Amino acid sequence: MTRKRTHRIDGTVRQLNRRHFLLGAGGFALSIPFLESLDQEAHAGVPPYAANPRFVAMSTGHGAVWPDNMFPLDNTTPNTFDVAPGHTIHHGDLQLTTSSGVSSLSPVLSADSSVLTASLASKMMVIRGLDVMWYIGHNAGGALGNYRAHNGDTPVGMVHRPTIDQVMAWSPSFYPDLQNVLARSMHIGKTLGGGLSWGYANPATQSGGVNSIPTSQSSQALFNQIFVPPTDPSVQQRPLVVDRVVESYRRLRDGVWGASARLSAADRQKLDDQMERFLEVERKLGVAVDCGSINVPTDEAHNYANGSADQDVSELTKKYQLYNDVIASAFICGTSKIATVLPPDRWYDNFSGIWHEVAHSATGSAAQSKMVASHNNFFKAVFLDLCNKLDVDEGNGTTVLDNSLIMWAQECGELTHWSASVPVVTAGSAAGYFNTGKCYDYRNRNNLELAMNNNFLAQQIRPGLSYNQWLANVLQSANIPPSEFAWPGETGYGDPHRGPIKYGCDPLVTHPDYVVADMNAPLPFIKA
Amino acid sequence: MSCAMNFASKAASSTVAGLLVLGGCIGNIGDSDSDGSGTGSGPGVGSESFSCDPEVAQSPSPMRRLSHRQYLNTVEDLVANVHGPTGTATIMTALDVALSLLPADQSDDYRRFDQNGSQLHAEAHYEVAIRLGGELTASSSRIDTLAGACATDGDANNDAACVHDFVASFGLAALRRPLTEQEIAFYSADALDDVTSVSADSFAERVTVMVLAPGFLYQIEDELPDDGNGVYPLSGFELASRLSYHFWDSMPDAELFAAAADGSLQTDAGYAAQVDRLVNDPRARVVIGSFFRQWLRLDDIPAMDASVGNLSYDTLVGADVPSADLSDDMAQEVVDLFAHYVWDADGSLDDVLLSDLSFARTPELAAIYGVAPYDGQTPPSLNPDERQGLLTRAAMVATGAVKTRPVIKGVVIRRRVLCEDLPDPPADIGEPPELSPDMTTREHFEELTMQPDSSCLTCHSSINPLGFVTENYDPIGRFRTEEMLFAEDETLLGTKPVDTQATVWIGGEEALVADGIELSELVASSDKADQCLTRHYYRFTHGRTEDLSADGCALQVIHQALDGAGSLKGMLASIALDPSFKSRRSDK
Repeated sequence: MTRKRTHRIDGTVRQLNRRHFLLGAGGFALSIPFLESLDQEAHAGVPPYAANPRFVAMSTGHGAVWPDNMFPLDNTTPNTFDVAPGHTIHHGDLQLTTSSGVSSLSPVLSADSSVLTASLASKMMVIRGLDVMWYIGHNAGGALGNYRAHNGDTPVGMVHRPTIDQVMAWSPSFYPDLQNVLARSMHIGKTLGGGLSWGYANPATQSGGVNSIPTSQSSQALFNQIFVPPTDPSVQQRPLVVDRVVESYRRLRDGVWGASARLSAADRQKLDDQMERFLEVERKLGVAVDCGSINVPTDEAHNYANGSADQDVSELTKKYQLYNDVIASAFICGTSKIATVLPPDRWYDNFSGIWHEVAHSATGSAAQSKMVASHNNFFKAVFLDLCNKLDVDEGNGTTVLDNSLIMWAQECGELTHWSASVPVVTAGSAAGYFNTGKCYDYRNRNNLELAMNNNFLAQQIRPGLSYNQWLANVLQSANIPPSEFAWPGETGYGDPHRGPIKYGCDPLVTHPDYVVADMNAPLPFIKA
Repeated sequence: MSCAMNFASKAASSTVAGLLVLGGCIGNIGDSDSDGSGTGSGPGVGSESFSCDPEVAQSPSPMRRLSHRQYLNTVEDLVANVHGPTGTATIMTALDVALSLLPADQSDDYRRFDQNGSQLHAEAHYEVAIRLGGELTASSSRIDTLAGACATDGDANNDAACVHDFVASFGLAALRRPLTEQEIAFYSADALDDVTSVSADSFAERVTVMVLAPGFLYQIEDELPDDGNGVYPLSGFELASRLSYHFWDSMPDAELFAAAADGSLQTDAGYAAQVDRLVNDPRARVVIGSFFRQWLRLDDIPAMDASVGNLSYDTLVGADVPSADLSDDMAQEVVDLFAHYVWDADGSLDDVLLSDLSFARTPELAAIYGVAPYDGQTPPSLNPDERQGLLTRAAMVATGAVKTRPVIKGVVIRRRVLCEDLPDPPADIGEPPELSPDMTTREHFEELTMQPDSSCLTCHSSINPLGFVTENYDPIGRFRTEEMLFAEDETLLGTKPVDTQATVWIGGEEALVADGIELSELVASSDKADQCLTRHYYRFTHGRTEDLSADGCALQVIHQALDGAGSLKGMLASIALDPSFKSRRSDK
């Protein structure tokens, strides 16, 4: 017997010349080379679309943070503009206030001044008045455009559709060159009952049904997905068996080994889907990018916030910061450009009650104070942590953060189950696409049609512009033109259904036509 | 089964108004039409609830991928098939990292429902396959074990035959049926290095390709032609796989393969014998235990120690400070409760609903019940004045918080035990009333959700009472007559008596019950729970929600096995004895 020399993976290892250093939560130092390709592409504001953006989406459960706790106060948005007769929107510069070492845009958007800096605030946007235009209730994936994954009555004809991260992940406009890409997208956090990201079973052909995408359960496994260790000539390369595997699927599908007619069309579709996945495996086997002398992390996110500690804030912080390390590594190395994060709902310690009941009774001040603290903890521990990890020089005076869009949205709006004013907080300009350092309030403050019941918060609800328009803006910031993402007869992204946006509301009260007239257009003032 | 109370007389007190209110909220899960007409499965319709029309075509059976658990078990059994139990552990340890990459199945219902594939699945399968190939060929001795001495004897003359025989034998196990010569040729192709000699890597590649093949990752059922009506009978090997994956979550063992090979599995007697063997095998206990866990959402029991350290919770639990394991112990107790009545006592669902035996294995949980720990042989008796039946177990009532959750308890019973659908709560709940800290949990929720003019009343009047009747169990499952009340600052205000009497609505009848024990008796006296378990077992088996029309015959078979003098074990076996289990229908 002889040990057979198998196929080798060929690929060009880029020669890299600059290095960046990232201190991870696990204490591992990432000494990361700078990719020349990024150097050439990472320039801001090139029309018509930005260059080389990365995208991170985070979504937290419920919503239900009172407006004055979530958003900057109304008087910080003095500038006005009429988007339609009677609908005046407001905008203004984000005004960071500092007191006792704590910087603040709102009670939720507050952190130590060394973390939430004026520089970082200038790279953020806070957006109010983006509505899912019907009563969506609890949902998974709504924040990224799959409104069908929700509880309760579904509007007729509404189907699951890929979330925008998956539109990007499989778009040649977003990934024109896959040579260095090891993971088109990374998925972190909860998935039970439906996660944040949804995609076609066969995304290459956009067929096979739209399903929830599972998340990684190990930060080290995720790291291994996006990291290619330096080539060691003594290490045996893996055999390329994928061709033969794919052929076995093709033969079954085509009936080479039997009667293909005995399989249903759905079964054959499954075989096609699986073949595409193995071809993607094969593509990734050919990637040979040098990520430099990264010290492989020794700490593992899965070891934190498990069992009885699953809602311990310090454990959750450790867990999600380890995942942030991986996101940062992938973005800086260029082996992935997309991540989605769906963390647990509760980021609040010393609590002996039931969080579900807090979130569902957040109209009470005691519950609301817990909601504010929980959301603030998430903002500091996860959102700002990633912002700061990515805010490292990438050349031409820009940082990785500048060339990214980090977006934090919530499951619902200002009240649990409601879909009006889903809060959106961002950092990074997507390589100059967005006009940052601003607060945008797209509500029609004069429209009282939704203020219909005796709930003191519902009294404050005002209709705004469409969340679909925001998603279309994000896609365009990622270089994807409407001609590529828009569904037939639609503008914006996400099912454009309009209906009463709160339970029991007058069914005739829906968003007016001008809101949906052109949801591909940039939201007012938001584009740089 | 015993039923201590006659609820018929209480049912006579039903009010039309009450039924109308509740009827607007509750529907039957799985009913295809909103008016509940379905095919006769309305609440309390009795044993005629499932109807079988042989003329109605059975539901299509899509090709199923192995579930997460099935994949893990199959890899291990495949290795054991080569190496036996002794060598398997070492190899499985070497596969640990790769196996951990496989995403868990995710579903709001049973994990078998998750038939989605993803890139993450494919990459995990690839990693496992590569490493498995490497491990099985990591040394000359392992190659010997895998393919025989011909693989390492240095004689190139026998290499072609060696590869052929290896592919045939390993393929039989991996693809779970004999390979045709055409297939053997495919999987043997390019095996010989330099035309004549075969290498370790070559064997590894064969292994890798075969454990990535559709016949390994999916249950392929395409061997026999259809009956002319789109119904395909399963071949012996396909039937062997369907049986073993249902009852064991893994590939067939040698005996089942042999029964498929010699044709005995295709005989009524041989088939029944194998079904009986599989049901009584320890592997079935694990799988069926998992079914009951998923049915009752036992993995969702909150951690009992998460609130330790908070003043109010510490005051509430006193000396019984919960351990991190307590919630798992509670779940296991319910699994053991079912296991006892399935395998030890040949009991029924009613027996489970009314059981006065404790299956608390740990001293900590046993202390909550005030009994000695269950030794796995003889379950101690519970105090009959305090606890009886499934619905009163700690797993069904504990919250691990300072308060109980009567609404959630009620929702679980309505949805999971009675198979009734409930809408999600609306947002339009208005500002909550001021709640006094000296209210009991029941008073709190009555104030919050059951005001006469409240829109909440419609649903909560059907939900809350099912939770109120077990308010005599505290948040860690202990029996109580008084509820501790805490101020906002978590200091103890005092105690108040708990009130467990409530009017509940089960199977179209309204009844006044005193507590959870009486509720258990009421549920057992109706057919609702039997019907519900029937539906859930069908879902678990086939990995999809039942169609009351197309699947009516199978549902009827399961229900009849469970109903009347039937038993849980009979129900488990019944599904395999239904003709639809032995065939599949394929949509073109």
